[in-house]
Amino acid sequence: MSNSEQVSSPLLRVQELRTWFHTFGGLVKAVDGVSFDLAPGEIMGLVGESGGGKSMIGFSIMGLIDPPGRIEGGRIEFDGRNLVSLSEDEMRGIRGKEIAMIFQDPMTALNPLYTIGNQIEETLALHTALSARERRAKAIEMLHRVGIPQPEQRLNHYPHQFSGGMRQRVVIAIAMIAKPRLLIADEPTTALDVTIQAQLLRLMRQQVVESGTSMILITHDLAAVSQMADTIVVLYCGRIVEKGPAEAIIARPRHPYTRGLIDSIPHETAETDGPKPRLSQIPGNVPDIRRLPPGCAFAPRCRFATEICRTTDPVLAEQPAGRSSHPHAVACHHPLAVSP
Amino acid sequence: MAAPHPLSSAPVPSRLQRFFASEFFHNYRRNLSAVLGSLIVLGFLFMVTIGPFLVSQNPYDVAQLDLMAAFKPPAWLAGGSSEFWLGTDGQGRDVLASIVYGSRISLIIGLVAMGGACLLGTTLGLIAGFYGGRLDAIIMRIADIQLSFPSVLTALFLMSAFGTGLDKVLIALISVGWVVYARTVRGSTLRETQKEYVQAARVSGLPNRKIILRHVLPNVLTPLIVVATIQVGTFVLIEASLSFLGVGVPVTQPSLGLLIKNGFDVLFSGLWWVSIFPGLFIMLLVFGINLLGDFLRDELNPRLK
Amino acid sequence: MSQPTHDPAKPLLEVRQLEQRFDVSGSFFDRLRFSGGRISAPRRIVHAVNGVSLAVKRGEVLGIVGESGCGKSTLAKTIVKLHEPTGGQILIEGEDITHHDFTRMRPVRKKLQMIFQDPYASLNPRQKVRDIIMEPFLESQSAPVPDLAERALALLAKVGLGVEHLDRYPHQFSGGQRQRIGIARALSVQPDLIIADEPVSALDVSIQAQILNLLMDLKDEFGFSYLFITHDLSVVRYISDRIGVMYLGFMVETGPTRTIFAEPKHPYTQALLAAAPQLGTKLGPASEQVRGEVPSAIDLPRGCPFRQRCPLAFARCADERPELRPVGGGQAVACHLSEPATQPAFAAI
Repeated sequence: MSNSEQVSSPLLRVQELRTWFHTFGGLVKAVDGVSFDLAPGEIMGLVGESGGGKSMIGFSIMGLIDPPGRIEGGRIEFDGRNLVSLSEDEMRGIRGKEIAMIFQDPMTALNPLYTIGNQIEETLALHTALSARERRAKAIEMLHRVGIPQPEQRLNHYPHQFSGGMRQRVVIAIAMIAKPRLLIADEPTTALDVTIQAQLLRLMRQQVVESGTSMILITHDLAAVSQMADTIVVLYCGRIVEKGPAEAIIARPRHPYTRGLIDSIPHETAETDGPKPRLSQIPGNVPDIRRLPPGCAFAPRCRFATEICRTTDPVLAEQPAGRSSHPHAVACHHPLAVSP
Repeated sequence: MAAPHPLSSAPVPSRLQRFFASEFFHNYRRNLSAVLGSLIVLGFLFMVTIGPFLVSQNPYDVAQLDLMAAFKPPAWLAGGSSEFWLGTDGQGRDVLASIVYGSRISLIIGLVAMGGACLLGTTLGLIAGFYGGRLDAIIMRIADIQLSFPSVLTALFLMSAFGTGLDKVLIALISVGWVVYARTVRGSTLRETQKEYVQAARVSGLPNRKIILRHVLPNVLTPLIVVATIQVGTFVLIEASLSFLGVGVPVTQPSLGLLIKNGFDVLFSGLWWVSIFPGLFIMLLVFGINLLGDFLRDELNPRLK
Repeated sequence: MSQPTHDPAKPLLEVRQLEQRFDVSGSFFDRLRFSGGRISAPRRIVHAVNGVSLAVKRGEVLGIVGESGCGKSTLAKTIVKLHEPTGGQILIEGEDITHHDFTRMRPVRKKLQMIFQDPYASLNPRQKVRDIIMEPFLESQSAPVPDLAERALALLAKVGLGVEHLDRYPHQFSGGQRQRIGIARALSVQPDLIIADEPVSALDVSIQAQILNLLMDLKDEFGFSYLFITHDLSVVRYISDRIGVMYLGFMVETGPTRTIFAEPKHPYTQALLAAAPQLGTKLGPASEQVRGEVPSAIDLPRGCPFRQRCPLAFARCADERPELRPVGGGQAVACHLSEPATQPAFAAI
């Protein structure tokens, strides 16, 4: 990362992170040697299909890996501190205050037995020295900021009295109220309708931009990520296959997997008369992560694969000729040409 | 995708091989109490099948009994004889032989009654869960009423109404035991019928009977394994209580419970072995069954995983 | 209600003013309410489908799009009679099946099959693949079938699976493969119409494309029609010849795919298209077009179902419920704003 323009050091530096699960069926290398930097204020999209390991990166950063899972190696440097070596007590001081997380199902983050007001104020009591009156005022202000009408009354409502979209707004309010420096959002809008999705993505972006928070957006939805993120990291079977500036990844993907993902999104060419053209598809299925083939994990599904792909692991290497100052790196023996 | 699978030529592992390679078996081997429980249960099964051929006498064959040998203490006590390891009762019956034959009656009652309760309860639970409505309401209200009485009390009441006998004991046990199956099965049935594979069967035009038997039933059975295992133990105990109270099995077919009762009269005259040994065997049997049941509960309940 | 106009060939499926309501009030005691010193026991009725009309011609793909709770799934399940319709008519090749009982439905079931959303819940975990895929076929036969294994194999081959998969159980397959098995099951009776309820929304993007391609290949080969239910605009755009947009149990706009995407007329359709994430375009500033969220289907709003969220709503929208009316070019809209005063005809798509 030598050519990084930013003088400031990254807020988060993940190096060679390996999170493995020792299950009965075999060793699941959910995250296997993942490295990336996240600058202050940067929005990074973590993209991949199910089994790609994207959620496990989020959980690893939060220190929420439970047995049979274990962080086997690597560093997660947050603001100069290695989170991997911190104790559970020390992590508790960071979770919620400096790093907040939003999940796909807002009900997992909200306690059904307490009012929304209780839950927001509890977060404040935990991380600030505000008085009860100040906490209440702050909670109302926060609910207002995330677009919940009549926040004074809504404070006294229970989670089940909110719709799915409104619940996720409350979760965003709780996540952002302690002004975290990093927000990890794991499929935050997947369970919601498109009209609500767009509202919430806007809300989240506005919130992190206003408070200068960095954000990791974990999703399978390439389109949503391309709308939000500054940089994109694409994962396949626990490894990074490509990372770089969002525009470059979407417009000029260099890894055949990224290219395949983008091409398999149904697009407009369908509106012709006569027989419809077929979508371009990635053949085959995601392999069993416990029995990955040697070499490149994507090789069995890749039409450019050659002998070397089936024997040797490709290394994530920066590609020359990027117009942007951000490095565009790809782990492929035969990266695609830049031309469209 | 249509390319032949590389594994397709490999010999298909047999059911038994698959079982030994399964996570279930793996966890079983590492669970001491599960192994102990199953050894106890296997021991009992062995005892009631092979045992009668190994013991010295048939305690029900009067010709084999010798009144002169009455109330002999266990072999290791003074006056004991190596012929009767656990001593004899007032009629010269070998206590060990009585236990072997008694365990057989107890286990048969436990297993048959469990089977009957399971059959009845599962059928009613399937009907209640699948059809719902009034039928469901009637079945489940009866179940609720049934559950509000202690099962020993209900069984006792039924026995005093029907009279004693092996068949009456079975009827009493089945009528207190079906409820737990009905409730479990009804719950699972409600959950399964919401699933799309049941809807797919409806769209295919399957009649309800086939949907229930082919699709719902196989998918509601797993939780019953735990219930059924534990229930065998419960039934052995209830039957013992009934027999002890004198409303259980007839004296010609003594179960473990009846053996305890027979010895109870002389328990305080220092002739403790006639009653205590059958009691220990009941305890051991139920203990083994419960150990096994607890393991199965942990293994088969997806929520605990 | 006017009859369908001079259509030469009878549509394969025709649905007229279909209505589906569910009583969710529970037992009498669940319903008891005590308010203002009075005891009442109001019923709670979910108005899932409210007077929807549609028609699917042979070889055609009709896409039904809408957000969760818009009644699209209930519509699909009512058409295959998983629910008894509470109003309206369902016709298969002109035959009114609305009130057909089990026996009279049996021959119809051969023409009508369904593909489900959840590849994990739609296959019986205790059945082998060969039994799963042959079940609808065997149920439609009165005599034993001799060449069952060959038929099963041929079916599997059609969906890209092979002989080694015949004797496996569902848990041994990935989501995409399971969906292929579900498709094979629907194919087994060679239906005329397949109702696909969100068949790709549970799948990964790369697998979605495989399944969509497979569905199109099969349609070209066998010439059947799809009623394709989805919330995903890019999917519905790819696969459908015509589209119906549903909102709160109402059909608010219908028309040829191209027209709907090029010139959406209903404010809800416009909002839906604007909200759909576009690859490679940055999220624009909030266009406060559509406010709030879908209202409850228990207390339907008076007048237009969309008016509370509609940026263009005016007085009439609160008083009068707009009917679905043709606006030319095969398009029909249920909105007072796009109502040419001269076209009172009833529209069915």
